[in-house]
Amino acid sequence: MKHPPNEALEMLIGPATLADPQDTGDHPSKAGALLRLFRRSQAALEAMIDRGRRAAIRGDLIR
Amino acid sequence: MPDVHTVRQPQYFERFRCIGSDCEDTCCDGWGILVDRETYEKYQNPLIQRVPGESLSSLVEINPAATSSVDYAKFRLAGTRCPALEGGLCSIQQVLGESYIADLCSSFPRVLNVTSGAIERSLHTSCPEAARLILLDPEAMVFSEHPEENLPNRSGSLTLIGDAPEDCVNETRSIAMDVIRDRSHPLWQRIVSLGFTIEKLSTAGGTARIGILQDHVRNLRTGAFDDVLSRQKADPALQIEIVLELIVARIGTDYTSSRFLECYREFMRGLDWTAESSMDDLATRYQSACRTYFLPFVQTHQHFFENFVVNYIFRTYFPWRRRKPGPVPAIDSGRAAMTDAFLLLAVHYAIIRAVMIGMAALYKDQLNIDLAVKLVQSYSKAFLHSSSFDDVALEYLRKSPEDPIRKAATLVMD
Repeated sequence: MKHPPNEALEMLIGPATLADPQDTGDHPSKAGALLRLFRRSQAALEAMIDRGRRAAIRGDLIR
Repeated sequence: MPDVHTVRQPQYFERFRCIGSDCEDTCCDGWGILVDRETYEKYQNPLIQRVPGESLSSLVEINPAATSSVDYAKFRLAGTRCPALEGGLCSIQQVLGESYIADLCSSFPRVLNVTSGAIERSLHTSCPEAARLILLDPEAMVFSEHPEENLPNRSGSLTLIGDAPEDCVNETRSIAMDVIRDRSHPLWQRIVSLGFTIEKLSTAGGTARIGILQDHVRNLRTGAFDDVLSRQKADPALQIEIVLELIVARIGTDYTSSRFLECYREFMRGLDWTAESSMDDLATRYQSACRTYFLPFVQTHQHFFENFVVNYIFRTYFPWRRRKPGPVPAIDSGRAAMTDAFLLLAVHYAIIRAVMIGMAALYKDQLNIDLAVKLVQSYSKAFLHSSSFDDVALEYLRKSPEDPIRKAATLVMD
């Protein structure tokens, strides 16, 4: 079935992506998730600084 | 290999010159350095001069993960650095000459893809000097195509890619690049609109794809998508959450250079992200920095992100995807590969954009082009050269019940 361009685009990215600007989804579970993410971020940064000091490259990164 | 080749390259390519010890992020530090078999065997010759004070054979080792003669061996890094790096320069090249350095050392940051008889030359944005050439010049991404008689580089430096799956690869890719350069709409709308065509492109074949993309460009230019696009609203909290997840996944995997970590810390400081922050706080500061500092900066330097995306499209054969299923890389023309190609383009753009918004929150109207280049270059080195990040990002987008293209689209909206 052929849709006009506008309608076809709406089908893809349509109303479901329309965010309510009043709602940033900041409820308790989100706050907990953010804090966990913050801790993981800090841990990753610290581990990286430490790994930088120990200067180890595991092999994921290739020129 | 025929004697006469078609060479395709962006205008910036010929201007590249390695700046050697003046480089602020040398390519001899921070990642694995592969050695081709011919060079590895050359280094086994005990009669060769010792560099630097050590035999060449002691500097390299067989690569247990090798898939071809190109990645047959690797340097034994001294910490994070190549053991031959001395005073910012390669001691092997200094003492023994160019012919003794590995193929990849000789070519980097040049990308020299050979497919269907054509050599396509470009540069990696992970090299600081290359990043400046690519990102700073509004005319950098003007392409030329011309015949050349002889192989322009060491043959081992060329990446032979299986023949293009269809004749229309170059033309299709060129139209995709035209979409990105069409300033009738904000860049995020051009990217999202490309995602919209992916579904159609992946189910069409051959030259039908060219027609689909030409229709798409026409529709974009005549405003046929404007109603829907103008009603889309960015979800800053969702953007922050996904981008953070992906960054943490990457820097928790392997070494990440201090240059990218500096940018990431500036992003955190700009958003004032602490253990006490709520998503409301972050989203409000992020959105404010986006509108007040980031978007005006992008408006002044429109070619900056366009050039990054166009260079990425050219190098990776978007909307196809370059993969390495065996010893020889190939252009994957499968339906899933096209979707993945779009998702990855959106993810890479989205992470750079989000980190730059955080940096804009910190630097405010002092955000400048040098900081932007540093971010793109260090991001490229940390993410575009990771052998696992693309799969991590794709898996992350797919695990959501939402359509992954739709999810990727939400990541890039201003």
